Amino acid sequence: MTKEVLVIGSTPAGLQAARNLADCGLMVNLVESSPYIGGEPQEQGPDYLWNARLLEILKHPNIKTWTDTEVISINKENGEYQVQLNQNPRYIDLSKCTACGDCIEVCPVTIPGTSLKAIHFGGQPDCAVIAKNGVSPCSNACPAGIHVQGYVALIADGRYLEAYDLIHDALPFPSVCGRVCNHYCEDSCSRLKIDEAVNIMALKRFVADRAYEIKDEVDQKLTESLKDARDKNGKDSSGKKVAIIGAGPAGLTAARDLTRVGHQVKIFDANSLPGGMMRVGIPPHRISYEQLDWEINRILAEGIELELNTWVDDIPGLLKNGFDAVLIATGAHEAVKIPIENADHPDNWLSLEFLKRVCLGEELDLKGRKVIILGGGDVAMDAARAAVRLGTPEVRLVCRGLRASFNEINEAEEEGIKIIRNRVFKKVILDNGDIAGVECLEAEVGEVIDGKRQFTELPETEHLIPGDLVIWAVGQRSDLTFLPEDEQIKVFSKLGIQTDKRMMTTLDGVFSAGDVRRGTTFFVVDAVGEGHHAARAIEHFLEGKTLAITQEGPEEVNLSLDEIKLRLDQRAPTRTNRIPVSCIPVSDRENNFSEVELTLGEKEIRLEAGRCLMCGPCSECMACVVVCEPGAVLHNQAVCSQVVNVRAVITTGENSQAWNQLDLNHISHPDPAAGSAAAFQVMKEEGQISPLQLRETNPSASTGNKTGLVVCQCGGEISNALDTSYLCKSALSWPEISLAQELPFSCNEDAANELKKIIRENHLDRLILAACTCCSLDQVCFSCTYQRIRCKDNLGVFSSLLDLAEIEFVNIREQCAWAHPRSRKKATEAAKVLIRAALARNPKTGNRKYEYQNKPITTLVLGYGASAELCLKSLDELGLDSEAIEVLSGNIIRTGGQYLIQRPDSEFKADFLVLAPGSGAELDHITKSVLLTNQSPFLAGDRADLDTLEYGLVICPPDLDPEISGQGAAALVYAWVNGIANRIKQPAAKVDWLRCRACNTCVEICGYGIPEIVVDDVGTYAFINPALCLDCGICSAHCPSGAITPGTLTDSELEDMLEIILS
Amino acid sequence: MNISGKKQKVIVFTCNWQAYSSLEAAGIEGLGYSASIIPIRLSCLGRLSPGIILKAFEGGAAGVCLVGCAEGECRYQNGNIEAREVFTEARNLLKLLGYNENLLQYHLINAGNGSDYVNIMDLLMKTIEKDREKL
Repeated sequence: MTKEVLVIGSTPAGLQAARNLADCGLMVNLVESSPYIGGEPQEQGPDYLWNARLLEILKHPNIKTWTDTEVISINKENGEYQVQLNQNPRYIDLSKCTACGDCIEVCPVTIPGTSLKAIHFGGQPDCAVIAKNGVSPCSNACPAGIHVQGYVALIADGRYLEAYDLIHDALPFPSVCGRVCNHYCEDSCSRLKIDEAVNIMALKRFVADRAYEIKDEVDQKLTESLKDARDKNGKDSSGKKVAIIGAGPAGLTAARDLTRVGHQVKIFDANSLPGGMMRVGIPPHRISYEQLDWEINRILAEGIELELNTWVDDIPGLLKNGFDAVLIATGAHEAVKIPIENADHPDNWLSLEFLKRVCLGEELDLKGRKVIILGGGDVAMDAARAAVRLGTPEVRLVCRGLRASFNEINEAEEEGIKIIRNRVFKKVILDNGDIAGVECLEAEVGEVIDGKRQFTELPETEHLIPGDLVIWAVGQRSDLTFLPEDEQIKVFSKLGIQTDKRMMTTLDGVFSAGDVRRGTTFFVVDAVGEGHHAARAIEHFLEGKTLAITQEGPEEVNLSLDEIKLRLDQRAPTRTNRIPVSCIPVSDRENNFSEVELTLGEKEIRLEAGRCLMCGPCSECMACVVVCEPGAVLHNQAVCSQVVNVRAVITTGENSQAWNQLDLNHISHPDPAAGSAAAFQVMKEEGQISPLQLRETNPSASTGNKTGLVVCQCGGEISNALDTSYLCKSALSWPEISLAQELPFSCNEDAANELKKIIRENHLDRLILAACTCCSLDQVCFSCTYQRIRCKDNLGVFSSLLDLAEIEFVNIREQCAWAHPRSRKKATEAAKVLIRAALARNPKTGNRKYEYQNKPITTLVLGYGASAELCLKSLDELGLDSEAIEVLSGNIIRTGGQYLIQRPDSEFKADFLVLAPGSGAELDHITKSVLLTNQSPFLAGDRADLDTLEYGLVICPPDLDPEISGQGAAALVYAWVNGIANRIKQPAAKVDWLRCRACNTCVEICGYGIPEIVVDDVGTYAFINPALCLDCGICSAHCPSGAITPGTLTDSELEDMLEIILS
Repeated sequence: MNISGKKQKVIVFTCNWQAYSSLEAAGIEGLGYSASIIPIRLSCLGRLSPGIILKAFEGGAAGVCLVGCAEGECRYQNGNIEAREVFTEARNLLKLLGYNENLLQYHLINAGNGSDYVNIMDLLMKTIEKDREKL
């Protein structure tokens, strides 16, 4: 049968149950739905005691703690429970976070209604946690994968360049998409539910403009970060070559992605300039070519080869000539006409050809002409507004339905363009060989269904729209004539290239992305998204993986109206309206291509960004990722599902409701006593206790003396305050040290492996680790931290024991780096002295085999309370010997680790004492009679806790349910007995019996009554039971004959340390 | 300064529990104290015997300070109080040997109390400076 049990809920009761059961040798799965165990810290008495208690749980080798975990289902089968656990992401690697807090400083988001940042700390395990309820709707909507809420948050915080970098990381063309994006993000903005979307596009433009102003600095930063990334990955080039046909947004994006993972990319483009439709389709009154060209050059500068004016028509040839993969991203550059009468007259221009001429700067003069634009989309609008700038001709835009934005219609009308809607074109009318106009019918226009606008022609409404030049903007398609004739690369419905889920065409190794793949036209962000996907697909292909690209991500946050109102109420100013962008005056637009729309001012930008509701609330701005030295932030962490098989389930709090049809142990009482009582129910079935066998602290301690030093930099926490490399250098000059080196961290698994490697490869007998950890003992002090415990655990201090070498820990962080923050030199010197002093601590070479006198364990129950009887019964059920005696005024002393009760007629000895008084008065009476130090904070507590720090003493408070206290007390005794057997024992004081004069000093002075005088065939001497000794060293300090040596830090070690420090 | 011109060290013995936690708290809160103070951590202050303390002075310590858990809160029941007796004994011995006995100090402190710890350190350093002025 499995040794595992499950405890749901880390209430004080749950924690106590977990600890008691784990001490008995059962493997406990402790499940907690929040990121921290133990609940609110302020409820539990002094912080330092509560903290130590939680760390005891976290370090227990028999407890696996599941934070952020929900119990999904529990099924019972053959006496065992199958429990499905879902661990929700914390977004932080618990094995790496050093709790330095750098992330909190850079996080731009404060959780609405709190003072907490989106990344914050709050309890044990003391690692950061990110408040992320899902992905925000704006970020989720962006096809390019920009962390939209992230850059909005950074802009609100005034961090424009960081915002730019975040955008640029996903979208190489912020200047374009800051001006002409169709902003899916704004369409999904949660603020739409209450007023207007945040003007996200304007925010993006603002930072794009800002970045361009200091483009050299921005470029340098990118070069550096790319170099860092390359150094980190350690791989330079994959040796694989990829050809990309088309230098548009999709092709350039894919090229950048592939280059960044080490592939060699060459782009071919038929045009004379790179940029695709961005450069030859969007006229300059809408975007800045200057900025676009810079953005394109930044991509190319990452090491991409570009061949312009090249029409590629032999794709299989590319594969034969050294390219490992090909990406077709040629876009849709062919405008189409509707086959109506006279549509082939030379004054019928194609919109895209016309725009290309405009974009490339050809000087066209349309002065005095009457231009008719046919079509109602963005291209039609661009063509109309471009035409009107070429000599102010009369421009009429005729369409069935208008798809352009409200802003743009306004601007176009201001510029004198006449927009005529609800028309169907019938024929182009000629007069004397010249175009006289287009004959149209009026139509009733309906919804768009399946991408096609529904309309009904109204008969007998023929009329002429006058004009002498027709520009066709009714649609566009891809030119597919470059594809091989043998149809190796298949197309669908003659529109686009057929691809599978991996975006691979029917020809192996050839991929396609963008408009040419989709067979229809989309926006720049869509193309960028396609570019990213294609790059990932090609990456997988080149690595020989056949992973399909799945689009599954975290769920989108959906704020309710009430939540939105609450968030608006929680901030000031409470409400501002969306700030629109403004335009240059109409008079300034005539016959020139100056940009029409203006950028917002800084004040307006901050105000606008501040309108964000912070849906996440984490914005995924990645600032924490950038700043985290140990790399502990994992924004992509997903829910992890696991099934555990357990023999018993203990539930606490409200969790129980869902499974109450099952026969589970439920703790309804919140206090630790109830936890012990619940543990009792499980222990009862566990059977007999195992015989006591103490494990040795260091079975194979080496006897050599080859010592190494490793200095932890703590990600800069230590190395910024003191000179770690100098420490290593000077240590090497010491005769004892044969190796000295630095490590960036010492508390993660990588570091532990590195340390073990250092020990093994250099045959070290002993290692001094100068970090923040302070001792190699199996104990938790008041100042202990999760990271120190993790460090020791990784090195095997609590479980397997590092059998490679002794490790001495020296805390140079709190004791030197942080204690002397004003002087690097002084901090370094102090650290040097401490490390030198640590050398004086002796490697523990002595034989540490403990002999525990395996006497039967007896428990004495004192008092008249109802719990007394129940406790006796429970002890019996657990197979423990027990006895009850009446309350007495006689002497109770502790000697030899036992309670000795002396009565005139008899004497009792017991290992454990359970006080089970029936009333408060009786409790007073008993405590007085056993001479307990009642002022001990461990004895008094607000919560019903049976456990005391008095050795072997358990108290059943009279006001507690006797069943809980009786059973709980028995469970504590049982856990205690087993705990000693199951744990690695700390060092203990040892008596040299030859020197001992049996003077009784140690017996009298020990606060725990551990030493006793024994008489056997070697003589009369003091004996200290190592299983019980806590190694405080008080006895050794007072032993007049110097017969007692403490387990750690002997007098001679102390003297040596002093000598080194003072020398 | 001693004769060789080298700055003398000050030894602070702390117990592992409340005293050490306050020492760390001082570091965490960034409260500086003299870097000539070198701490030695013991499991309990009661582990000290007068011999060790005298050894420190004999080795040239400018001062010695014992810091333990607050009264009634010793992790090992009575170590802090036992240490007080050792402290008194050591002071008497120092006096006898001709040392300024005020250079040996004894303080009890609550857990996590960085500023109290620094105050104790400052007090110690002041006494040491005063002693030097006399010379």
